[in-house]
Amino acid sequence: MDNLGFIAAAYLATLIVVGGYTVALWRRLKRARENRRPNGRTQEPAG
Amino acid sequence: MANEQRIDRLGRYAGILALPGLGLGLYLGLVWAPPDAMMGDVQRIMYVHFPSWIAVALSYFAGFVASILYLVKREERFDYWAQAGVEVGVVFNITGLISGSLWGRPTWGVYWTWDPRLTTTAIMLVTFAGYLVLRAFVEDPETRARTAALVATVGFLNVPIVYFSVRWWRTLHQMQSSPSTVDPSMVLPLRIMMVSFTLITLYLMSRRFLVAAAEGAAERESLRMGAANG
Repeated sequence: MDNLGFIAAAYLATLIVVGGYTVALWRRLKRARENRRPNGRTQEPAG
Repeated sequence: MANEQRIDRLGRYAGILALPGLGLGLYLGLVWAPPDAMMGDVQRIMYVHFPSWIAVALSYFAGFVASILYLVKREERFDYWAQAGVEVGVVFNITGLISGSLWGRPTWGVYWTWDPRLTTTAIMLVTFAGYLVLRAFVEDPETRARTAALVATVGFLNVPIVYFSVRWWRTLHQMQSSPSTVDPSMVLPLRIMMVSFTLITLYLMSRRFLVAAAEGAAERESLRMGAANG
């Protein structure tokens, strides 16, 4: 296969950017959901 | 909340469906499809480059429609969808430009040139990246949503210019291909990758919507508590 380096770089770059964004979204969603739980930051203070 | 659960579920289905499609598309594109008669194997970058732009068009269009709906109806859910569309669009805008540059070097001899198609896509990226930066700097939720919706609406005007740039100014970047001008053995992997990227886009947009909804709820609660505490 000619130009293998360019082909591999294009596929790898796409994987890294989209994969990295997906993982970042998972973490952000997990954190946002934790903050929304009854004992999270958004809870109404007692009294 | 029930609506969010439905979006969560549908997004998951899209993500799960995308995986076998991606595997099959990668195999067909990298192994099964023949090399291009002129460009050789480097043309295989097309199977990841073109689907990236399909994802960009879909995401920015969703962001545009949601922004218009927000400006008209002022409902937060449209602002959440607008955030989701623009941010996912920026991600694929980046992958489209990177894969295009890596395809350009062996075929054009340069990674980058100020060709009208490349220039308009770069402007598109800067505009929508600016949308995300703007959101980070405006504190008031309503002002932020309204200003961002205006930026996304104006920014989207460039999208048709990007599409038609290869017809209006015929320079280095080729014009759009169609299934009638591409060998069927290349059309099949391309279609599978396009469907897979569309499903990934829907999955990512659903996750980003849920993030925006959860963060929006937390911000509202925080503002409410701040107001209650004087």
